Amino acid sequence: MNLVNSQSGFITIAFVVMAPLFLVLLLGTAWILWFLNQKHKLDNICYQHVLDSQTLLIEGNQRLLNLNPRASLLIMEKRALNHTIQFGPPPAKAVAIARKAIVVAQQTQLKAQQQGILKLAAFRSRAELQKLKLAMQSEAHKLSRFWRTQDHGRPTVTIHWKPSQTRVRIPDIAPVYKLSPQYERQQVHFVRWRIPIHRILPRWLSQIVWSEARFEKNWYGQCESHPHQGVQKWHSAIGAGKH
Amino acid sequence: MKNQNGQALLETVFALPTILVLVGIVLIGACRFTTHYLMDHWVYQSSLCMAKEVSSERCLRQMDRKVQMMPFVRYSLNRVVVRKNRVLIELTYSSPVQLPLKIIEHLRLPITSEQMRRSQ
Repeated sequence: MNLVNSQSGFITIAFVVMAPLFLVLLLGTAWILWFLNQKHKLDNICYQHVLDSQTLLIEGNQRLLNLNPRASLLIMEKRALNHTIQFGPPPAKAVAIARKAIVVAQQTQLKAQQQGILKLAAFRSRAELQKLKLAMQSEAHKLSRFWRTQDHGRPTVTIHWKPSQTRVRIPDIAPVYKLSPQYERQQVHFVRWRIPIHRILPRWLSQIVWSEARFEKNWYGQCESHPHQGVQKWHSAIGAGKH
Repeated sequence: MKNQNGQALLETVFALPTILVLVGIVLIGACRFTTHYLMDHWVYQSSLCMAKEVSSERCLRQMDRKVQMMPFVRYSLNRVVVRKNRVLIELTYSSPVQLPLKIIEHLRLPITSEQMRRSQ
């Protein structure tokens, strides 16, 4: 009986000494891994939406540029008709005036199409960044639920959105467009986010982490995307363009 | 009574090394796991930095600053490739409790939003 007592005493002492050590070690490791994993996830969410937002704008620009042959054809036809109206014989002049009215109507229609493309691309691109805001809020909410804390850690998302960077190459009713010089650097979408993690974590963990380890009280992150010229076409890429 | 004390001492003499070995294994395991995870994470961050068209020197300096936080870790860069269509970093690291281990991070460019979605 005494022998048994002596053994359990030794095991108890060993356990009492080692258990906190193991616990601290495991909690510390788990905390670092959890911390990095969540930060990584939030970074990826940011990049995913900012890339999608850029892609939508690039696709819009491409559709706009695809209308250029038609726009320049109409401009050339109108110039030729103007020349006929100015210097042509009266019968040709009458025909030219009638034809010009049709060309102007076609240009007005094309202009509406061009504006529609630009506005739709801008709207969808902005909407994608609003989705990013919602996704960040949802993630912060999930973290609150995970730690069973009240949802005080609302993320702050600052969006720097740039509209389509196209310029008019040949001005007219329906102009011919081109990409602006330094397109890569001009059309950069930039998002900065911050989540007050100290408000999401439970109080006991916050006290341990911030009184002992002095971790940052907020999670910060930023992501940006820019148009990048590929082999065949433009695509969106991470970063703020060529440095 | 004397006999029992002797028994306990004998047990301690045998049990202590076993416990120390077990504790050592767990400590070394946790240390190796955390080191590998952190190194892998920092190498990935560095390759992402290069994918952003930031100069490789700057990205590697940032990574070096982070690795310096673990003074027991030594590393050497084997290969850094930055091309238009890919970024590759290959390094070997070691620590007093870790034999040299290789980490290869290969990013295909352009990084798509789909890739980001999958790695969440």
